[in-house]
Amino acid sequence: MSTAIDLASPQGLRERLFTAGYIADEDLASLVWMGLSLERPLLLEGEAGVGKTAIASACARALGRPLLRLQCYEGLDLSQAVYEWNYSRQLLEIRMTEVGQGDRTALRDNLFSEAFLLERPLLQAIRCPEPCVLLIDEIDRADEAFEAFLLEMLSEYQISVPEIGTLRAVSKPLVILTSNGTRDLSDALRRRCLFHFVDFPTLARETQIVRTLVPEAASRLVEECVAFVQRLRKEDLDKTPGVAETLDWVRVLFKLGHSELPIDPQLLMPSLATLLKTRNDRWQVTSERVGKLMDGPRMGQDAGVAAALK
Amino acid sequence: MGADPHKQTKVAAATDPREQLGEFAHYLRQHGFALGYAEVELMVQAAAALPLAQWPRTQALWRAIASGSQTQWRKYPDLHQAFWFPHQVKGSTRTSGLTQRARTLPELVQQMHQDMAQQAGNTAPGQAQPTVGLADDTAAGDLEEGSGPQRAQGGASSTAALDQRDFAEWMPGDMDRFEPMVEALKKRLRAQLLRRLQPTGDRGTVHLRRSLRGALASGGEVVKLARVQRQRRQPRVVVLVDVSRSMEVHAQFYLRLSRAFVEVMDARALVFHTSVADVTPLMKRRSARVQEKVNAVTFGFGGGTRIASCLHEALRLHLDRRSLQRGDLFMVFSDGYDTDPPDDLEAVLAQVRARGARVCWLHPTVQAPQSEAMLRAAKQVNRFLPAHNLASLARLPDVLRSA
Repeated sequence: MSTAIDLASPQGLRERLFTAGYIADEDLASLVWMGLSLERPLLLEGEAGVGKTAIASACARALGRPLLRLQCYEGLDLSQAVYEWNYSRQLLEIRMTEVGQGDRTALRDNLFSEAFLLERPLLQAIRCPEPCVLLIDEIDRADEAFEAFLLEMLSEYQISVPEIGTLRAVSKPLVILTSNGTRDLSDALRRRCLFHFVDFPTLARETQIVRTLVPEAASRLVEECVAFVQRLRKEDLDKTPGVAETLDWVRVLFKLGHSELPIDPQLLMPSLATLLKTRNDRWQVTSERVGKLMDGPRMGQDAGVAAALK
Repeated sequence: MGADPHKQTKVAAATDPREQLGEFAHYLRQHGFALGYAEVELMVQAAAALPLAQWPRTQALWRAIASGSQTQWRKYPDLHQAFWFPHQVKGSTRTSGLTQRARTLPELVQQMHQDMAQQAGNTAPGQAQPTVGLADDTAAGDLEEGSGPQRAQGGASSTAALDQRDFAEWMPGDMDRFEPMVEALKKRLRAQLLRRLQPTGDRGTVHLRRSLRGALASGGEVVKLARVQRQRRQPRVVVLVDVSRSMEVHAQFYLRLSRAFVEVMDARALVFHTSVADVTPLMKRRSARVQEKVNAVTFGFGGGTRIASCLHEALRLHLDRRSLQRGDLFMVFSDGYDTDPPDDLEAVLAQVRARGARVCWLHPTVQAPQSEAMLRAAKQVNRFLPAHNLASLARLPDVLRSA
């Protein structure tokens, strides 16, 4: 009963997500709440590492539902995503009937029944007796043909199997699709979903996230690290560090025994491997640059007219 | 985002919330949002399901329903604010020319009906309609121009002139129009059929060996047939941009055009004047500082242009046999002024042709380059294309005609 009361408003859901270890902003909580009340899939787009996938697992924990995950990739087909006939079992059944151990008429009727169907995540999600959370991760990696197939499932919550007919949902799952925006998704798919762009969190929210997930680290260290990463994101990097990277960095610095950000940039350089993920970025962010990011204003501000005015 | 005075009267006129929401949906459609009846209904449902105390949260809910992309996501709050709370919008700017996207025919008809109904209902005798610019009669002339909410209209439309305007006069904001051009070229580039086979699901010819091998899993019974098809390969595109002194005025436009090639067709982009540099990774980054970086890369190359030796260096260092082969497109953006010996250019272009690639030369002048080197090399170039304004770029797909 308390679950129902909690979920009656976006605020209640936000608190539940917080208890489940995910600090959602108001917009995101409203979105998930709306997805639940209107039974619509959610499409989350954003840079890698901003916590798109984490939302799905947090929802599963907060709602007490099982989580089913389908990782998309190029060449993903229906046999891996939806269902496949269990050919070996079917053959075995035929052989047994041939040697007189089974009923031939029953076999003819049952050979293409649900008993011989191997359920893959999408089918599992709609045949699950209790509602679950279905995460379709990185949908932009899958082919357009697969995206087109998803349309039926997402709008009607049903799957057509030619040999059996249409399998309708026993329970409607909360579907969460994530995309990194590497290619444009079709308008048809977008129209069926509620869209949310997950941006990098603000300073305050990121500090709160890191504090919650790395409670052992000193609060001064957390604040300084987050402020540094926020500044680093404004640099022209190949791969902008996400929240996941900040968490890793704080954990590393904590393990190294720091209770605040060391003043000497040289000490930080080895640990920056957790934030900078390409050779170009490593080369670009030198210890001088780190020094600038740590204390002084940004490079552009202390030159020219701005400097003269000081 | 400026508040629209026309729309304020509409909000005031419609009192039924559903009708207001309809107006809002129409307003969003005018700004490029794809909103159908289903979405509007969903917006009503979402608002109805929300507890009354949390009414201000509707903006977040409707934003999720109405937006379909990051751009729309970012645009929505301004539009929401401008429509529902126009009195709160501080300061407004007017832009001349057409800032809204072209409307579809049904939208135009709907707009026309609304305007007619409003004119019949609202215009009291003696109440003058404000007129702006030269279009003083909404019923006469072009619907597209006359029927929308009133906007400031200058004496001349800049939209039409953009096609004819020389690249040297372009503003950075106009650059977005390159991508559709390149998109058109991409559609015309035919994929090549290779001899190599690739497995397909249920199309193509049956591959006997694979089918039998797959049958091992089911005790030797062939249950599933393995099928294969010949692989298709999209031709690669290499773009070389001349950034020498003589191309100074045009270089930044060609660089942006080459960026469109990199984004749309995954092309390789190289810049040259006395030396050559690969700038593809810089182009791929969505950074506003591409121009600066390209300048940094080419800084210190010195004056002059050595087209032939640069192309040779590009072939030798950057474009190995696999990056440039049969059917690929080798595009040079240059005015053709070369300080190398005149015969060299022909020789290096012959090398490119020997690999089976097509050579296309885009020049910023109306006439094809007439330098000594270019005249000799002309027979190795599949196509010369003037690219001095947008209209000439519309002929980009013609590049493929001769090959």
